[in-house]
Amino acid sequence: MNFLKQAQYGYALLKNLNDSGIDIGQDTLYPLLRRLEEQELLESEWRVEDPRPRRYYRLNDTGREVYAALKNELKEIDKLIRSMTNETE
Amino acid sequence: MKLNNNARILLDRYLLGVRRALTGKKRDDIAAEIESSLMDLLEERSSGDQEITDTQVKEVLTEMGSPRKLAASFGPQRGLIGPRLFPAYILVLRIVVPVVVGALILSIIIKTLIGEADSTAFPALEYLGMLWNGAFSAAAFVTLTFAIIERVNEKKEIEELAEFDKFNADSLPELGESDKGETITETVLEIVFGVIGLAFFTYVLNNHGLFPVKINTMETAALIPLFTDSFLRFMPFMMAVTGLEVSRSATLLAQGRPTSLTNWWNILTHGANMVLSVFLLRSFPLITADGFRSLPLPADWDFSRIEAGVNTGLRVILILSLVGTGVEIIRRLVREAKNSAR
Repeated sequence: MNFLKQAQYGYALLKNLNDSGIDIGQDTLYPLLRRLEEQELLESEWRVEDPRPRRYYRLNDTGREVYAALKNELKEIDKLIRSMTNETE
Repeated sequence: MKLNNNARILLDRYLLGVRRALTGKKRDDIAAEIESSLMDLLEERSSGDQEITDTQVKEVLTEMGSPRKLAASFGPQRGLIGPRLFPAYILVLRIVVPVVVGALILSIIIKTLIGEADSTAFPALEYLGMLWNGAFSAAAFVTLTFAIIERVNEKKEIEELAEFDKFNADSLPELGESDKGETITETVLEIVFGVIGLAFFTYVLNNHGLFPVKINTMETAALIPLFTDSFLRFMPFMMAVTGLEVSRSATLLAQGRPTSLTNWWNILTHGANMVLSVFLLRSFPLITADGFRSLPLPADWDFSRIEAGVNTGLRVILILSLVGTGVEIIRRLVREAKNSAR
């Protein structure tokens, strides 16, 4: 979701994710984008100014809120794991 | 970036296969996005201004897998049967259910032709119930079997099913094969004629089959029956079948293109039409001239000949329609089977 703060088309997003070490294929990413859009977390539009028409996705307001909440939750879990592992060490 | 002719054809055939395997209103949109992403992938792999060949396209499509597999990933998330088994499940369902329904229809036709049909009050309804029961049981059996396979082999790879996911250029649909089915005009005409038919049947039923007949242009002479009682008996079923046809055409119009649902719906209404035609053929005469005999008409008018002629004409029309409907059902079943295999 972090990559979708700015509008990106599917293939560019796929490359960015792969370059960041996230192993995801087209057959997983595109349906996932569609589902996030159905859940009204993303908005998309076709842009025709590129060499060929491309569908661009970006987070909408709800998506940004959900992303922030998820990030906080993950940080809390991370903090908890760190404190637990420190205790046992 | 430019694709050579063979590469373009191969890509278009693949996209046609994906479009056919997709369902829902967004299928064209999804197919367009898949095309856009495939072009991005091909562009990345092409060297400079050189044309992209069909070998390069084949390489990319092999990585993507079969059109069915790619389309299945865009479908809704399923609980009972997962995406791994779903394409095979749909294929088996599309074969087993028509085979069971076809066998039942054939047994009904044979029973009717050799005169062993049940003598219940509404045999047509009973037969429709039998067909529904058969189709439902077959679908339930297939679903249950696949649900068990899904759970038993949850973590295992099923080798035979992997074939469904592989890209095979030979099995892609040919371009130019009709994917549109009926035109909008045909569909609208079907609805218009269907509604006119429903209005006519309603009129006939409300008037107990009696029609006003004028002897001279100014005066209504009498209400006379044109249809025999055995024909009137079938009117509610004819209305039900016409209603099914009209609602299918309306669904087709709303969806904007034929789908598996409207194709199967069509096969069902054609099957119901065939069953109805068989019963009508066994109920002749359908038209009667009895009402005319009591009217003050010229004595040399031979009503028996007119009656026999009209009934023979109707019989020929029904037989031709029975054959035509049978051929149409087979044609549609073959088309559905072809679509399932791709």
